[in-house]
Amino acid sequence: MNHLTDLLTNLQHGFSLLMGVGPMVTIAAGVIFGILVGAMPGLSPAMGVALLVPFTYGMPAELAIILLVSVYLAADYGGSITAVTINAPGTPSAAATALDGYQLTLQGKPGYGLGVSLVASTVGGLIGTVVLILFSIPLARLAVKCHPAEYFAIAVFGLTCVSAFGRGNAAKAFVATLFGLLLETIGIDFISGVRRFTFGIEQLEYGISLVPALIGLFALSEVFLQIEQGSLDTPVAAVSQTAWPSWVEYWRLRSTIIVSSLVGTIIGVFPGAGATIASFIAYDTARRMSRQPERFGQGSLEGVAASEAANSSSVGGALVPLLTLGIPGSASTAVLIGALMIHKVDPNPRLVSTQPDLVYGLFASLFVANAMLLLFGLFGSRLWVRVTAIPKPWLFPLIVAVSVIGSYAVQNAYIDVASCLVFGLIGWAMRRAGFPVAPVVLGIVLGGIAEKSFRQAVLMGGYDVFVTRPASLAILLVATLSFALPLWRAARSRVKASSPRA
Amino acid sequence: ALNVVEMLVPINILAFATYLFLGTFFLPSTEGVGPAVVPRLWASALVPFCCILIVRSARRILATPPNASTESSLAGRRDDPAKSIQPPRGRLTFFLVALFLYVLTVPLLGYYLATWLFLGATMWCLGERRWLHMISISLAWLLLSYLVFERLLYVPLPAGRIWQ
Repeated sequence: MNHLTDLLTNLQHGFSLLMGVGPMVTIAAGVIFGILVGAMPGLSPAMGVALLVPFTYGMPAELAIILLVSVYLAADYGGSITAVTINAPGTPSAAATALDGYQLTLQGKPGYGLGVSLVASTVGGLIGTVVLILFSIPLARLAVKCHPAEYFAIAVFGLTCVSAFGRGNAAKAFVATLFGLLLETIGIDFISGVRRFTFGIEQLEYGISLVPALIGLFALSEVFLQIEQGSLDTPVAAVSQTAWPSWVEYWRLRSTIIVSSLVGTIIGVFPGAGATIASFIAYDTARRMSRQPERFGQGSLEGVAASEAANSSSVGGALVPLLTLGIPGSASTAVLIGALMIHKVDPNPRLVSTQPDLVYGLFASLFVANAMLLLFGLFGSRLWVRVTAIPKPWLFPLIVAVSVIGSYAVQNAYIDVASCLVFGLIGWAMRRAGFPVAPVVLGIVLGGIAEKSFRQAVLMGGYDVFVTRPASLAILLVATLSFALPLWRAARSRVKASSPRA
Repeated sequence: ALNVVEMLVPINILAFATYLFLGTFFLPSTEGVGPAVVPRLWASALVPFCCILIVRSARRILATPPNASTESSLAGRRDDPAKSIQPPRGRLTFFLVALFLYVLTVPLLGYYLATWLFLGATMWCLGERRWLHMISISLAWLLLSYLVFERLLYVPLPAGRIWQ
């Protein structure tokens, strides 16, 4: 009971920190930018957050994180706008929304799709936030007591979960992750002070600069890929006067929204299993639970609600491991870790006690951001659809210009611009060959934590400490399963596909 | 062409991992877990995965008939291949060359002039032909970057050697 009282008191303090023009404008700006980024096909939430990071350099850490998290939250909703109106999901997580949302548009009811996606996103985001608040504090207290061996095991588990990014090709996802882990070893070793793989380049002594790498991998590579594919046409959506659902219709969807929100939050906690997986699993769950499963794919409001509630609630879930363990739950949270590091904030279990203003301010801002999302979504739906008609011949050069200036602004150094360009080319080559780039970022971000924990654990207890400590052993076994299962399944499907038919 | 790209990427990553693995033998050894241990661990783990992917790609290349079309099987393509429009050849090459020149000329011409030229060239390359739009968008971006980076964030943008 005391814990709950403390939590409420701290949360109240968090809200008090937002009482001012600055924080409110910041959240509003983040929500608007996030909706825009999410709505535009070709721009992902991670890309939007990465591009905005350089603009936060002059901001206090608390405001910067609030801004970036607001973008992350709003972008997942933004993807549903074009998913519903023109069957072009702005984000991968809105692909499930398009299954029924676009059908509603074809039936002359785009307002129903937009309205349900908005309300479901808002409620999902709020439920995800509540779960985040309730679980992150106790989890952080537990994590503080973790031995480095357990911390290493958790980092390894986080890395093995990235097979989900491989979209059926787990081997490529693991290669991408290990590549990122290797990149992270470049620079001065933090324990011995030895220079590793710097190739005589002074600027590499501090390691790969994270922000230019993020911008290159997410933003530049996407631009190169789309130009190569010739994806320069900009479909134009029209949202004519159309009815929106009534309160009764929203109320009928309450159980779908609540269940999907919980599903999305739980899935969001697992590193690698982000909003996209959450939305599809929730969609499937809702279909199985529905009294009218045959309506799914034909314009079912439950289908739209399930997908959107889950992809928005996964934001709260993904923030749980980020704030408590420093382990990103998704590509966007991997970018957030980069932003935290730039602002000299070290995401670890002690963050709640060392920087309570930041943490509780963030919790409070999530509530406010969800409320603003509802507001801007309700009054701005036609505007968002029009803005997505920005021609790509304008958009792509501007993205590159933002990437260049953003990379330069990190340290006022050209090496970062070169790094951004190099990573852009690496990301493009990898994506062209079917390799996901998010695991590279996860590897770079988690590599430091994993190595530090590994070496500390071995120093304290020898190499067998990972198996002699029960918790570490259990987590490593789960990690092994998480690593081996997708590979085994892939091998089995290959064998089935190649075996002669009877 | 796609299968070759699919093979080249793991080959390059494997080469990088091998290079770093060999590099660890030149690192000084220290007491306890030295700086070479973890890079060797990651590099060693990379080898089998890269080899699997290289072998798979090689098998696909050998199994593909010589005149099979690979235009519609570009990895990462999200659009329906049947509906995709073939982009003019060289568009991406032009864009990349423009980007390289942009990055190289910023120290010489300064951020504003180099960016204005880059934006104009690349918008034209991507199909924009309305000069008024190209000029106004470029100027709007330059103004925004001045206000945000120089005035708000106090990040001095490169002035350019020719102006100094």
